[in-house]
Amino acid sequence: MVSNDSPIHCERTFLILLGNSVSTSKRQHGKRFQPMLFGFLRLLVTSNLIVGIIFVANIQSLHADNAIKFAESDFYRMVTITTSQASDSRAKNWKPAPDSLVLEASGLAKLPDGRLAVAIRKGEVWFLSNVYDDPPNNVGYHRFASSLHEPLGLLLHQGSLVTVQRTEMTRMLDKDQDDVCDEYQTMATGWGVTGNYHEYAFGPEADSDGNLWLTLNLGLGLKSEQKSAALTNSTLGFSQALWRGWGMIVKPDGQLLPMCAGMRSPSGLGNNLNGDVFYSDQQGNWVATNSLHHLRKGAFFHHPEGLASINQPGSTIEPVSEVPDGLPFPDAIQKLSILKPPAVWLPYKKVGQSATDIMVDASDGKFGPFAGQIFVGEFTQSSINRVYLEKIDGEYQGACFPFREGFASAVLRMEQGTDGSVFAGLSNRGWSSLGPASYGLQRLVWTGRMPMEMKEIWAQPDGFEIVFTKTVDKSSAANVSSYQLTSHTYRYHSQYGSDDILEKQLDVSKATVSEDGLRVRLVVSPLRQYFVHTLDASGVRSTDGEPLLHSDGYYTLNHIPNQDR
Amino acid sequence: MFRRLVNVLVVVFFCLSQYLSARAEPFVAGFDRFYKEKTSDPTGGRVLLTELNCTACHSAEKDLKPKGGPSLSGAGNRIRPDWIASYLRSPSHEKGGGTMPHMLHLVPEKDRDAAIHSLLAFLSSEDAEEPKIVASGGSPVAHEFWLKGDIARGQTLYHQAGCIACHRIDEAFQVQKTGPSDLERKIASLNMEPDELEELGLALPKDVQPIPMSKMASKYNLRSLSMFLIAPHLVRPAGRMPSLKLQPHEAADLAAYLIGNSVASSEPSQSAAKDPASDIQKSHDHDEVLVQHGKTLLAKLACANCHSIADIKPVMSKPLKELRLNALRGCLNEDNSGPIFGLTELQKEAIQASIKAIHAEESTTKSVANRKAEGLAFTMLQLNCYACHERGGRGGVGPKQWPFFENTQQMDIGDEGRMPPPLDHVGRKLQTSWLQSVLEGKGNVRPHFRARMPIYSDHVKSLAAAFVEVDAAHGSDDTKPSDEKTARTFDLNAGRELMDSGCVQCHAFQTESIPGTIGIDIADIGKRVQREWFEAFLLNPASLKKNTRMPTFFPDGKSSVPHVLDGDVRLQIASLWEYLNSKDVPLPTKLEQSRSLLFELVPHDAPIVLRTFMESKSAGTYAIAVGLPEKMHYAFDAHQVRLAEIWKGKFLNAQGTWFDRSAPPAIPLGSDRVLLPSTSFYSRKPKQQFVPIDINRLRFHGYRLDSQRIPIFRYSVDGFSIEDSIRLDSEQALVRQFKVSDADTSNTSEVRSVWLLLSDNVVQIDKETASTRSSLKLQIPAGVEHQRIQHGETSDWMILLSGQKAVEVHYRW
Repeated sequence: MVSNDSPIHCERTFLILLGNSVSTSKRQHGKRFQPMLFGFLRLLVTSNLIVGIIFVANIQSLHADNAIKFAESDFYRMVTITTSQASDSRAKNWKPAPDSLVLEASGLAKLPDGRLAVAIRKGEVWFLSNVYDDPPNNVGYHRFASSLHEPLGLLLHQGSLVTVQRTEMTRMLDKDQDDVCDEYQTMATGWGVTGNYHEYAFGPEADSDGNLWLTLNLGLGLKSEQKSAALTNSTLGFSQALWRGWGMIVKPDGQLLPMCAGMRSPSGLGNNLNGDVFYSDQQGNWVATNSLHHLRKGAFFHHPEGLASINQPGSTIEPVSEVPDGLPFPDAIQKLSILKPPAVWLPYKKVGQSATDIMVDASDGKFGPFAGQIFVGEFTQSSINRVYLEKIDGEYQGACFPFREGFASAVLRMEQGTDGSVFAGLSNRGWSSLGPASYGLQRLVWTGRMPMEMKEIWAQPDGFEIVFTKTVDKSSAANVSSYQLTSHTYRYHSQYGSDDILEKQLDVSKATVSEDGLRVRLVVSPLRQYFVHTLDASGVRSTDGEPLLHSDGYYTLNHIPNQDR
Repeated sequence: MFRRLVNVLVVVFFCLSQYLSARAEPFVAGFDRFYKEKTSDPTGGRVLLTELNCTACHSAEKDLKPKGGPSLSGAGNRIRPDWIASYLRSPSHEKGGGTMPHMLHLVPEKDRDAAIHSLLAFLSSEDAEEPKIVASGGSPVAHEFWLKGDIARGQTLYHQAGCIACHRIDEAFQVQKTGPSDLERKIASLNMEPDELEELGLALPKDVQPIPMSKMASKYNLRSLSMFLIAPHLVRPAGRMPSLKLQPHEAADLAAYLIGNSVASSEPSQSAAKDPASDIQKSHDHDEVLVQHGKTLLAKLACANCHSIADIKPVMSKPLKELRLNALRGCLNEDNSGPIFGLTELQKEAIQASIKAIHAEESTTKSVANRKAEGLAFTMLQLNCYACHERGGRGGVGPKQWPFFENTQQMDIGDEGRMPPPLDHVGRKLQTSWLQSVLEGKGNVRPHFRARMPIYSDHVKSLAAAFVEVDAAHGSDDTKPSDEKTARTFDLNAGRELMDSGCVQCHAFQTESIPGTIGIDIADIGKRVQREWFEAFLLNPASLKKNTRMPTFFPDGKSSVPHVLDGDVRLQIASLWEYLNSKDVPLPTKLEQSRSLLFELVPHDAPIVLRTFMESKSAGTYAIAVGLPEKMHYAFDAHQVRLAEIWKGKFLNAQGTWFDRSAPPAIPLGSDRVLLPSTSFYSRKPKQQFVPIDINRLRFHGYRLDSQRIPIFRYSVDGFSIEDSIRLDSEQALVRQFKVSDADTSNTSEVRSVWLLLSDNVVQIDKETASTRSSLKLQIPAGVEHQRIQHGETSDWMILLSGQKAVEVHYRW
């Protein structure tokens, strides 16, 4: 697939230019003139074709340099299982089309028999069969469970499905084995629910110790009655219901324990291949941009309203007397000892606007070259981004990259199928997304073609090392001017989001290509701790002349390693 | 062979003719459409005077304020330098029909290239201003969104959003036409010859010529065109090109289409794909001498007369009034002593006529009202409002453009369901404040239209008031206000009933509508529409809106619903008006019905369970509502572990729970609502008071469904495991069945008890029966231990659950 410039497009362009004269002739001549008119029209078409062809030739010569231009779809193909009509789902009184299964996918889990379980926001779980068919013309729908209160996750756990509803974690059992749930077991409950719409609850996700994690959204704009159901931390002046803004675990013995705090809108949970669990947060007040965090006991991530619960029995966070408002994030970390940086910042717009689900590629290569990496769903831009993580000084950090855009609606949930392909559960109700549909289910399949990508970025004491998916053309990769590097950080403040601040152009003094041609070591200065380092490698070509499919990567440098790796 | 040669020649000739036939004269829509054949009417010439910026050099009174040109600041950084150069060399050649006159002929031929070079240097010496685009969870903005446009989407948008009201239609676009317009329909039904129709004044309106555009690909790159489309006013303060309220991705689609760039095709392109038109770059070699030279030249060429540039002063010529029409020199004589406009003879005649009229003006006197009306019409000509709107028999969407105006459902509900509304007596119809917000791009009562009412920025600020003023002055008797006394008497219930007699068949109300209908939401109509117009329109719709599909509900001034308010017309209209403008009123019955058809939960064969938020006085945020087919329902509070409410009749509407972002509490729809005690479980040590059991000693474990799919709630209270289910007993009352298991007492030697508070404030009927104030009758089995705590006449009634294994309580009400 070479360039998207096709003669059809060019010809159409030309038709536009001539369109007016065509239309005038058509309308104003009566019946009598029709033979003449047809002749004239035929002439028009012929001449357009000729001019069109000349036009194409021109374009191709103009773009000779960019002869190889691939699209994401050349590597990752989208299969639409079902999508709804477009409608304004941000509207106050949004209604789905009558008589439709409103598949606002809010949880996905593959079942042992090959079916896909899909939780939907109105409170049901459906089993979809034949979802791997391509084209998916024979998908079967079966309702397994209902009467759930906005379930926002789904996990097959110890042989049955578990979800988190607004008020509890629930196991769904089918005791009489008729394929319909007949027992809804409350596994854990007791966090605060004032009735505020924004108090979503997400999960579960299992960690390597057998705990099930869930995360609790903050309420937003509590009404007076809701306020009276909330807790207030009088020292800090924050008011939220119990454990709102916290990550909690349900232990195998059923205990519900708060673990970490400071979340705003933690709509995505997922583990990596080590069984460590991560969550994604969404830009807003106190949250500079979307972010990916390692869930661990005692961590405080950023949004301080969850500190309303800090004095409650079981709290894992030491009390603080003040939260700094308005410092650059690296300074805020120094000032506020409980504050832990995210493993990865996802720069706004460049890598999404509202991060959602987290999925590790556990397909061992069936989904392409990124085995073991983390994928982060994206609501507003209807896309999926990609994250490479490494551990430096015992903490996760790493880089994020754009991966695939163009989904039909907001990507809320992801689940890797048995064949390595990835299901994307879609729903954009309440906000907006670039994909205009309101909801649906799509599947992303690797075509088998290797994209030219920065697969990994490693931190090194004096710079970075980029690992590519394909061997690089040494002359372009060893040329320091093939790379543009900058770094920036964010402001930690009570306002919505943050601009990139303290931005600096970085100097690349050396680019050394490894012998196998897959890695390039960059010597970069200065490196700044906690800053996001943007690597634009658009000058690099693969040995077969291909430019990067995505030329930008963003490394969050929380720790600078002190020795070569 | 010969034939082929002829063909080739014809093609060559055709291409040449296309090339040569590019319009040389400036195109001004208001003149071209309405005054080309009426050159003696000074209004046509006046439009040319402002739109061609004649009055930028020849000063005139302020109602002939020149349009002005685009902002030139940073123009070299948003427009391709080659295009600017070619445009300066010959504006009409580069953009046929453009209104910019040729100026550079005033520079000697040999110096022109150098002049252009320095002008470009000046135009590139500043950054181009770009709109600030704010992204948030509710407004998607892709990184480098301008690279991600889609040609096909752009083409659709171009033809649907309203661009084609002014600009060229693309014949390649396949329009799905709903049906003929009302006028076409009417003409077809008459079955007459064109000349006969013309005599009747019924001929199809004449074609409307499109406003020419530059060759987009030569002028812009994707970024600069997207930015221009998002905020045209930044670059063109004259505001003739309005903003179509484009989202960034829409602007990108449109730009992709207009430029014809196929980098972005059906799949959005990659961030790595750089804008192929990225050759518009700020020149790094900033030559200050050259820049200054360019600036001087701009001043000399009087560019500042039309384009506001930093500190350059305009160079004025003779005031308009002092121009002699028989002078040998000047713009109209094309002697190359000044700007060359390439005017046609008709345009010249019109301009001359208007100047003549200005010379003669002192002698004519016009009424203020007339001047206001003319001024308003003149503004509409300048802004080309007539491209979409008809007013005073002039304008409206051109016949070729009709098929492109559609509603989102492609439903045939007449022209008023797809075409921009006519503006006849709009000043008497709409409130000034509403008109104002429509003009500011805020008010939109027709979300079902594909075409958008654009924003014309500050230029229309005074228009709202002008419409109201002009139309009030030309008021007729059909909108006479009813006397105040009747207007103040009304009956909301009657208003609601009247809605069902017709309005809801087409109109939405408070965003609810009957499925399959689209129409303006008439809630809060007083914010938009004037009371007098409302009344007059209801009484006789066709008198205020020709071809309207709004039927009259008051034929011959009599109400078609005589049983409501005794058929009193004024009272009915007043009641309807008040109902429409009231906030907390129940929906009209038909809308309530259609809403419940979609979302009311009606248990038929089996119980329905809905987990939802309910009001705190009911089951609260942990509610589990259960509806039984026998029309008795209850709500369980899973947090405080208690039966919270029972009711009869209709169950619940699930729309709020399922689909409303604000997650409102579900409120029982039925009747006979009975709230039960807010605390259920008590314990009592021997010979002591009853104490509520602490909420931390209550645990909800979920529920299972029995063979009839009735939920059996499972919870533990102070260590006792309880199963609690509610179903119908043989006497059609609710029976609540408890099964209690022994407590796990392994950790304690303490003797514990669990008591259920059945109700407070009961009045004893017999030993096993009592009733409450809300006429709930409670019955317990004989032999169960129970206690009454007397408070005067009434008492709190407790029964012991612990140690009982099974207990049944009957609820009758």
